[in-house]
Amino acid sequence: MKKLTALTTTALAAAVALALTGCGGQANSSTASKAADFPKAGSTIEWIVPSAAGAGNDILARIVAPVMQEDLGANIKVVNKEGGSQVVGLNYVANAKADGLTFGNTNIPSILGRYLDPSKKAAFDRSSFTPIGSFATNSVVIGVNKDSKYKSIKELFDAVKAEPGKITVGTDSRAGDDHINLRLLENQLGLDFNIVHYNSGADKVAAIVSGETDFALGGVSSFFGQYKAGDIKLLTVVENDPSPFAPEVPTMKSAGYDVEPMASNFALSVPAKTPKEVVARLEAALKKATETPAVQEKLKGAATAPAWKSSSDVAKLWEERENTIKPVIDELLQQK
Amino acid sequence: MGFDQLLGGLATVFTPEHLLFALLGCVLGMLVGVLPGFGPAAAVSLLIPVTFGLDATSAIIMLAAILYGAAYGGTTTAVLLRIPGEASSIATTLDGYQMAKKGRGGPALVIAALASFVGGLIGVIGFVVVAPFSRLALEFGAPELFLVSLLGFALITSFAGSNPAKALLSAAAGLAIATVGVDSGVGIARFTFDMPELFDGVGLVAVVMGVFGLSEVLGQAQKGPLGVPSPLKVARLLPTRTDLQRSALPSLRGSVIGFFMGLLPGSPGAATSLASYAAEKKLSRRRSEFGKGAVEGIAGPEAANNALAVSSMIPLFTLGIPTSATVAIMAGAFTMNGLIPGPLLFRDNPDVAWAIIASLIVGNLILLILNVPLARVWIAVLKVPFHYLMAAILAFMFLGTYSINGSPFDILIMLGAGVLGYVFQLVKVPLTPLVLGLILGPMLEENFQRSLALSLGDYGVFMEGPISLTLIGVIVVAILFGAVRPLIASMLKKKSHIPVAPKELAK
Amino acid sequence: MQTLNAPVALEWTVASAALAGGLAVAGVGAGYGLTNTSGVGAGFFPTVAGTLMALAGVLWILQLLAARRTAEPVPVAGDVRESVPPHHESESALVSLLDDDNSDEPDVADFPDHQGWARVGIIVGSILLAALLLPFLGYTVVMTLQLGTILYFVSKRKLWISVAVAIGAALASRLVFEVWLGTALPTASIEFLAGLGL
Repeated sequence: MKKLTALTTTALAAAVALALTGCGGQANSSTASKAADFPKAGSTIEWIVPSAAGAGNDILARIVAPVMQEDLGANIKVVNKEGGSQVVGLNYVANAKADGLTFGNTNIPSILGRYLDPSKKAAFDRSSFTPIGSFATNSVVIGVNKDSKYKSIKELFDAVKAEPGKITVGTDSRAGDDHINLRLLENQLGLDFNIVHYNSGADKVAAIVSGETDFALGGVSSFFGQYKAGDIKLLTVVENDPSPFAPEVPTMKSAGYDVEPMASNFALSVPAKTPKEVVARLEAALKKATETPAVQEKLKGAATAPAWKSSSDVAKLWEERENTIKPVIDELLQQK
Repeated sequence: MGFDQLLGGLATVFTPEHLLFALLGCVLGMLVGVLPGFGPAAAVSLLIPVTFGLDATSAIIMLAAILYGAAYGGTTTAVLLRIPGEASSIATTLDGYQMAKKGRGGPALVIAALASFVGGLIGVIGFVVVAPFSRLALEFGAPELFLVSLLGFALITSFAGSNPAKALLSAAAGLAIATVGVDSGVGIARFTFDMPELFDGVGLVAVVMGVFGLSEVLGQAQKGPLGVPSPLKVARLLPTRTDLQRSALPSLRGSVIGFFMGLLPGSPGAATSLASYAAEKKLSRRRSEFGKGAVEGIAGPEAANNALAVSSMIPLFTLGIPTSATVAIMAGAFTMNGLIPGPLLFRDNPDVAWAIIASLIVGNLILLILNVPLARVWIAVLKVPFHYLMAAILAFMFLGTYSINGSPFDILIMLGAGVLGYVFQLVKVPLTPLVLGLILGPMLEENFQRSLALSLGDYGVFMEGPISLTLIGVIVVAILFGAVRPLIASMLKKKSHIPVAPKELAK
Repeated sequence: MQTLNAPVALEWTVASAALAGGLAVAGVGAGYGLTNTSGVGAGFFPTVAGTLMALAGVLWILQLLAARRTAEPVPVAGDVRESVPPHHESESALVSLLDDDNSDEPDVADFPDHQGWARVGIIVGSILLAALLLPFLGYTVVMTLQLGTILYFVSKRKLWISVAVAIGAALASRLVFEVWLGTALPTASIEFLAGLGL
């Protein structure tokens, strides 16, 4: 609680300073620093968000960054580098100087689709990054319109089996997380959906609410408002345990389907060659920020579960998910 | 829902504290919005941390004010420098800049603020009336949206100028540029030359800044000699009575157009303000003044723009669905403040909801009050000798295009678009069809492919339901009207050799 | 000579470029596949756009040919519209009511002379160079060079004024963006410059 007040005060002070003087903080160059005294007081660290300002990634980054900044005693700037389905921003992180002054979102599994697909011309792969940790997760759920005739995941999948390729499902983008996860489902359960791509999570959700598509799969945060309002019914959580945001929704496992958990992790990484001490320092700062109540509050507000995963845990998870997804991806990109 | 709750909301907003945050938001938004590359969406996300310490109502009121301030900031540069700060102020550059050139920048800015206020006010009134029926907007699925964007192409005839072949070239070039990037249906990278920067397509704002802003600087620079400073005359700061009379109806019509377009998924702001511009041009008796500094050409689009900004919040408030990038950021701001956008907002936090809706009017009012005196300050920009102003504009655009994505690549796009726009101007190819093609192209293609994916390849999907059939009817009429009318006109022309009409002489 | 024919020559160039470019877009576009299992393929829209571009080019060339036949002598510079088939030279009130086409693009852009071309070239060249050098030299150096070049060569300011204004503007804009707005501007990747904090 004390932390919360401190944060509030800082933010208010910053707001007032910004408004009144039009000026705050100080300009500082980002010079190379030795690992021992990382980060130099007042140096500037860039947090590269490979999506547009205001996107989910961006908002979460702007929640976490101020708290990390306080702990590190350095300025953290959230920098949006959009483009090329995140490849532009991720390229930038992978090729940045390995001094800990540049890190970025390497969300798992999103990032896998970027470099495992050769047509995206990504200049990086798993070995280009060292994770510093993951601060939140987003469970994957399957939802239908409130008036849908499918009352359970079993009814939905039985219908798919009865009419292969006829039941439509919306994604938030082509070759994005939703698409890859749907293809994984198809492979693991022997199903065949009619996959239709939308431009954003919001468009995908709108298509469910209007009944244009039969069902949709995606992070629980993207369905949260409509789920709470009763416009969308969630049939299942693709996890081993129920989601705290929708505790009464059964898991895939309890419905009798053997599917690996799909949750996405908001992981951050530095370029691979970054010194160990620097990674450890950033890891500690991120962990502390993740465990700050004010941050947790704000993350939960965005229907994202705060959850700490250490550098080594993320590295392990990354490798596992890569092994699962890699075989799917080639075939996925050729077909639909 | 009703007007009494709206009044309650107004009462909440009219506390010194909330008014202060609204004022602060307007000023901050305007300052950031003036910078090219910082549209309303970017401005809001940049300034979100400023609101962290505030309670939910104050925070959202302030963010909404930032949104309006930034939009108006974009209008300012559109009028003064012909740099549309964001795509939706393209229509304002057409006549706003011409007015500024004639020394009427002050009236242009004030009319823009007035029309914006009218648009916002009508938007909020419409909000209260329409909100209960907002679910109907969802009836516009992929096939309907395809037809709407097809209808949008009928607009091109309004921007065609005197030569249909040149307009066709411009529009087709826009369409071709729009196809750059990874195809939404099959996933093939088209015209990307293996550059990841092009996978998501060519950035609209960079192109617009180049085509309108840079081409104008090049056109000015070519004239020279730049050694002689020639500051623009600033005749009058406030609009005349005639200006106001001429803007009244266009503001109302623009508000209505903007309001309904804002309800549709995708809320294409730029296409909407251009549609309002086209409508005013068609209806006006002073058609020949359009493109040369007609106030109607500012009032209509600005009102449309702001009414759209309000009505595009309706799906967010009532269904929890953000229909544009800008509204999506507002949705993010809601959730960060512990409010769930959607019908629950009215159930669980009705006071907050209505206060925010009311603040949409108040924000516009503050902008209006601020900008009547501020117009003098903005206009001072035009008194800077051109040899310095030009360098400043170039630096401004360089910096702005870089900041959109933090990428030097967008500067190259801006440069290429600027050279293209400059050459087009030299050979008198109109520029607006190009931008229209660029905006409508992706909507057309994606919704076409999505419709067919949904219908499993059945083309009948475009003719199902009353909305589609109505839209098809309107398109047919528009095409007939657009193609047949000029034909009759040219036939009449051959027959009659009546002396030149006075308005033609006035050129 | 140049003042007489240059605008028409440019029209020919652009019209031919539209034709060639349109055909190229259509051709390459068709290679992306015109059909797909559920309707049109990735190449359909590029092909349509390219074809329309080429069509516009053809129409324009026809107009130019017609103008060449009818309009003798060669039209005056900057008034190319005269040479285009007369569309609304004289209009009755009725015609003007029915006909929308009475709006030219506002700027009657005078055609540039040699010096005009040079000024345009310097601006375009300096922006191009600046964009390409940005990752290496960093924002401050690039902006100073670009502004200095334009002020000195195009605006014809005195050298010291150009340099002073350029440095001042570059530093001020960097201050606003980095400190006030908190957005990062690119820094130099060359060690020497980076060491200076640029």
